[in-house]
Amino acid sequence: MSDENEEIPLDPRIAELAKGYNEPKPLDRVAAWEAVRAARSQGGKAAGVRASGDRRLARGSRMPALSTRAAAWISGIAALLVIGIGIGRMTAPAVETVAQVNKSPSVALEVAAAQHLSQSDAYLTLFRASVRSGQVDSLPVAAARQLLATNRLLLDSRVADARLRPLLLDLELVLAEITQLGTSGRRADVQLITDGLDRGDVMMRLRVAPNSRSLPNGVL
Amino acid sequence: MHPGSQWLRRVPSNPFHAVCVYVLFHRPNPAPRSQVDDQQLIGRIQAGDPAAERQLFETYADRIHRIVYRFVGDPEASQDCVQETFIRAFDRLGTFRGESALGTWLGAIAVSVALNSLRGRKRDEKRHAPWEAAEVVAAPSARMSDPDLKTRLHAEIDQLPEGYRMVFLLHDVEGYTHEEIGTMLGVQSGTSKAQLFRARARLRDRLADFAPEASGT
Repeated sequence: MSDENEEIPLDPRIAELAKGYNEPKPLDRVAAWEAVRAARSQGGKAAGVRASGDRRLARGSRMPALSTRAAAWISGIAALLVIGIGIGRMTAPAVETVAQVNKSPSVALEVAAAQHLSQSDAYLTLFRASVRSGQVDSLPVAAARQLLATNRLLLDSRVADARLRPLLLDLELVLAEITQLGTSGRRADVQLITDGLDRGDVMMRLRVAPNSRSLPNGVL
Repeated sequence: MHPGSQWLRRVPSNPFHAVCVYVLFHRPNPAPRSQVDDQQLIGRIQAGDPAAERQLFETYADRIHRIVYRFVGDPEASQDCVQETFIRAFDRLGTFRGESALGTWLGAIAVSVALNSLRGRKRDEKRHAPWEAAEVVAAPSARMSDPDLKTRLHAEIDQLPEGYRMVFLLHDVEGYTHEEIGTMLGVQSGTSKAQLFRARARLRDRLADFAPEASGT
């Protein structure tokens, strides 16, 4: 990863020629603006006559407006839930383990991180098996998206310290590439992903990481 | 004596003349757009000012058009993408929290719209013929002239994986920073750097047979 972050510029001639790739032609600004304006006003009519803020909300969410009666029911149920949860919290006996976890949120984070790494390991093992059997199309991409989302949350949390961060960054790259494969992943793209896995020893590091508290920084 | 000082000595002492001179000759440098400008603009749009909507469009239309055109490569589809980007942006303006520049936020919407457009089309249709032509002329050890290299390079950019291609175009062609690209694509800036590295490496590798100077080594 660290090597890949050192930018080696392209040959100046290629860099210059690349600027001609899909070189933009002038935009018909007037027509574009008219289309935007028309779409916005059409959306306003579709949503009925409302205040501008409500119109934006209704059009943005593409959901039918709730009737006042339904909104009142939903608000009532939500209020009941909040009151119930509040009473439950106040009357529940203090449990020591919960208190301990609250005092040290890093423990919960580390458990979540360990779980994420083992799930990633399982998913990438499945990915490699699918590549070998030539059935990459059957791979659940939604699972990769879910792992990618968790990975980003962990990267932004305190658990992503100097020890774990490089691994999470490498993992993000691999998962992002898998999610971008889509349903018609080209062979070359798949090969690039497996090369990335091999080059960074990602699988090995994933397996070592959960038990790596004693390892010095930079090992992962 | 500096020539300018002669002119300075001739500046009218009459305040009215001084104001006229200032108005006629003062050409302030256009200041870069700040987040304050953008926040004011958003506030006006949310207050229902149609002129502010137009102003936002005029300010960012070209930038958005450049991004989507680089990805889509077709005038009509690009124009559709620009329109769709602004329609979505106006709808979601309430969700903009100012964590990034407004232009970057719009860029993220534009990237998403352009990708949807691309995935909805037959992706290789347009470049199919030039790609075949490029293979005919791409004999190893032949030193290619610029037009041939250009055709081949563009075909190779087309063949890059989607993530590499986006990062390459945004960084090397359009000049965005890795932080901006990270925001637009929803990835870490390190991922953007790694994808750019791999994109360049792949282009170098694929074009290495053209000429020694084209390999970039």
